[in-house]
Formats: sequence, structure tokens, C-alpha cells
Amino acid sequence: MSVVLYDIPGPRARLRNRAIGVAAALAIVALIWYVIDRFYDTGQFEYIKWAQFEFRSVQLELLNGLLATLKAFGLGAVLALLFGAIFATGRLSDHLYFRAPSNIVVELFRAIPLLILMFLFYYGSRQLGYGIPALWAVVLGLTLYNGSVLAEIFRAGILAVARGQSEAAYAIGLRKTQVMTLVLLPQAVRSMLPSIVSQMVVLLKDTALGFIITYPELLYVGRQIGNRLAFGVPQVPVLLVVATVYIAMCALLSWFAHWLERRMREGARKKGIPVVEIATDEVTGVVQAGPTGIAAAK
Amino acid sequence: MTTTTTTTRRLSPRQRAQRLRWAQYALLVVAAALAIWLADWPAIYKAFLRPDLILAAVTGGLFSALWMTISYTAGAFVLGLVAGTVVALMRLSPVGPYRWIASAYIEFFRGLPAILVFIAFSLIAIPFPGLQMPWEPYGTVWLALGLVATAYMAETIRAGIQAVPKGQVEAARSLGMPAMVASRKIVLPQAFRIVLPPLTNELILLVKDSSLVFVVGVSLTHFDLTKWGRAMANSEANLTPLVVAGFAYLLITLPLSTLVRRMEHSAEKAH
Repeated sequence: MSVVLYDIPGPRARLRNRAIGVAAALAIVALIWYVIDRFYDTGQFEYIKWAQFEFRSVQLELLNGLLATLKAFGLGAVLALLFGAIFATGRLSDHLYFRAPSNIVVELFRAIPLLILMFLFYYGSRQLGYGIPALWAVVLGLTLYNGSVLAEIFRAGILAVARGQSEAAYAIGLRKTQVMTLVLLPQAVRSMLPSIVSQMVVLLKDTALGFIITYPELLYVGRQIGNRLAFGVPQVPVLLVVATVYIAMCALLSWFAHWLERRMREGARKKGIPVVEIATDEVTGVVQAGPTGIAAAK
Repeated sequence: MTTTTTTTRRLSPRQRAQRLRWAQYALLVVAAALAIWLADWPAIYKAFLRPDLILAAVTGGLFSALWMTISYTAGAFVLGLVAGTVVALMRLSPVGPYRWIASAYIEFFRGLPAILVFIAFSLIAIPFPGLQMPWEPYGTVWLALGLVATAYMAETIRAGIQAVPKGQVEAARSLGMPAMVASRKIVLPQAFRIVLPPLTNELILLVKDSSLVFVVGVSLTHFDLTKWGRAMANSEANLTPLVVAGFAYLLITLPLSTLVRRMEHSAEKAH
């Protein structure tokens, strides 16, 4: 353990811990059992409520919903990364006439709930006489909100690269663009990766808001399936299924992030590139950066 | 092509970069001008910023909606803070099952879209008929929002606890403080100072997430900003109230994010 918050347990404490552990586990199991029992009593596990999932058409519906979610996620992720890169550059610019508008845009879109942005795009475009499809209202909302957050992440990452790096680069005669693309970005990306991916997880989850503006993504399809009277309005079973799918997708994404991070770090170590480690940056708010790769490289 | 022409023709890298930059500026200016010229400003004003509706919105319940948003958020934040601290301590506990329960809880609620939690709470009467939350509708909203907030805040607080230098606890323990007292009097106070800026960020996220009350059925007097703005936009067939609601969120979030920036700045100075 990294913290000596608790005593190192002696034989009696170990016994006590084991007892507490068992009791806690039993309490949780009892709680889960109670919920399942309530579900059972109110008929959530009856065959009719689950029968829909056997139909090929319903499976296809769910699959289409999943694809729609992934489509919004993919478009939103790419555009948000682009938006973030542009506005991070704007915020880091030496010129006030780039910096000021970028600051305003980023601050504004970070401060307004995504739901309101989606409403404004969806219904606003209708009021102006050209209705954009729900998909694009979702994607635009996701792009503006997550792009602004990403811009902040990019900016923090680039500022976290040790100052000596850019000073050295300027000293050997590189220009601003070169310093950024050759020296700062490659180091910053590696340290920003965890934050970027956790923002991607947020983006993936936020696609679910699309259901409110009738974008037929996974949750929307789920609600439709769950409202069918002929199958006993199986809202609870459908919600269980949809929730499982979301959790699986998010877990997959974070697992991919861990894998990517490890790979990049190992690759960098092998080549002897110093890795800027941002120690719990988003948490402590204080960025503690230091090269670790040199010592590890042989 | 002879060598002389190529040498006179070739630009230095600096010149090339300069020309490219001017081309970019020109493109930006042209794009901005086009956007301004092509946009139908009167129509945009009429759709989003009708003065009479702005006035009607401000006098017609904006502040009570703002107050509802604040009270939904505040309750959820308090719940998240208390439960988050408990879950964070469980995550660091030497008791295995505590750690597993805490990790499972955090992973579950961080992998679930918050809106799904709200929908689940709106369906709670199906498996639990007759279940009455205390302080309706606050109880439902606080619990739904608080459960999600707990997972995020637990991770933040855990990192804060781990960021307290080890020597602090070691010193306290060697002075003879029991572990519980040391963590209550030495570790937690310092950890909370460290996590103050990120916790404020969580609060900002929570303010925005309170807009998800949208999917829960609450009575008219308990509408939060988003729901109120949407309802009024519906009845007026105009989006101005929703824009007003959006700007009302800025009243809460902008001061908070300024506060975060100031705290981070002073923390950096202290280092």
C-alpha cells in the first residue's frame, strides 16, 4: 500500500479484519439478494419480459442502436480532438487576438450543460428553417463540450513539459512550430493520454443524452423496446441489458487506454526517451513532472 | 531548369513559414467574414434572443429554477462528499472485501451514463411499489446525482489521500497517535486541502449534471434550469428561454471555475 493510513495488522487485527470483511461481504450479498428478490417478486424475470430478446428483429434493433451510439461517438471523438487541438493552440498563442476568442469559446462551452447545447442545435436549427438531423445535433454538442475540455487537457499537458525542453529547442534554432510539433507535442501526448482517454469515456457516455432529442441510439432503442405493452412493458429488464452494454463499452475503452499507455511508455523506455510523468495531475491540480525514462534506459 | 533560377526562386524556410501563416490568416478572415455575411442575423435574433421573452423569462421563474438547480446540486454534493470519503477510505483499506466493494462501486458508476441512473430512479416504483423517498422530489434527485458523484469524488479523494507525504503519517504514528486519530487529524485535513480544486471541478460537473433531472418526473415548481427552460421554450414556441437558462448556468459555473483557477495558482506558488 502506498499509504500508511492504517496499522500493519497483527494476528488479532488480521482476524478481526477477516471477520469484518466477511460481514461486509455478507451484507452486500444480502442487499443484492434483496434487490433480486424484489425484482423476482414483481415479475421482472418472467419469461414474457425477456422474450423479446429472442427475436431477430429486436436483436437487430439493439444492434442498430449500438451502431448509432458508436457512430455518434466516433464522429464526436474525432471532431472533439480536432476542436481541442485548434483551441488549445489558440489558447497557447502568443497573440492576444487568437488567445482571447479561444479563451471565451472554451470557457463558454465548458460551462453550459451538454443537454442545453443539444437542444439548441436540434430545435434551434428547426426554428431557423433548416432542420439538422438529430445525429449532427448530438455530434455538434459532444464536439463543443468535450472539445473544450480536451483543449484544456492539451494545454495543461503542453505546459507540463519541462521548460528546459522548449528552451533547449529554441536555443538550437528551431522555430515556434517546430518546437511545438517536434519537441513539446510528442512528449505531451504521452503524459496526456490517460486524461484524453478518460474524456473519451465521458464522451461515449454522453452520447446517451441523444435519446432526449430522439436520436435513435442504444438508450432510445432500449426505451422503445421497454415500452411494448405486448411484452408486459419490460422497462427494468431492458434497462439492465442496456446498462450492461454501456459498462462493457466503457470498461473496454479504459482497458484499451491502459494497454496503449503501457505500450507507449515501454516503447519510450526502450529508446531512452525521457517520459514526462504527470503525477495525479487532474487530481492534485499541481502538476509534478519529472523525467523517469533516462534512469530506466540502459 | 538551371541552378541559378532555382536558387533565386527558392524561399528560405522562414519566408515560406511566413507566407503560409499569412495564407492561414487570410483564410481565417475570409471564413469569418463569410459566416457573418451569410448568417441571417435577424432570424437568429428572433429565434434565440427575443428581448420580450428574455424579460418574460427573467421575471417568470428563472430565479426559482436557478434556486432549484443550486439545491439539487448542493444536496448531491454533500452526499457525494460524505459517501465519497467513506468509499475512498474503503478503497485504501487493508480489509480485502472493503477494497473490492469500493472498486466495484466506482467502476460501476463511472461506466454508467448518469442519465441511466436517473432513468433507473424514475422506474424505481416498478420493483419497489410503495417505496417513498424522503423529501420528494429532492430525495430522488439527491440520491441519483449523489450516487454518481460519490464514485467520482471517491477517486479524487483517494488520490488526495495518497498525495499526502508519507512522512506526515509516520511522524504522527511515532508520536504515539493511533492510526485512526492520525488519519482523522493529520491525513484527511491535508488531503482535503490538496483536493479542494479538483473537488470544486466535480461541483461544476455536478451543476451541469443536475440538468439530467429532465428525465425524472417532478412538479412544475421543482423544475431545474434546463427543464424550466425547455418547458417555457415549448410553450412560447421559441428558444430564447433555453438560451437564458444556459446563461444562468454560467452564473454558477464561471465563478466556480475562476475560484478553481485561483486556488491552483496559489497552490503552484506554494510549491
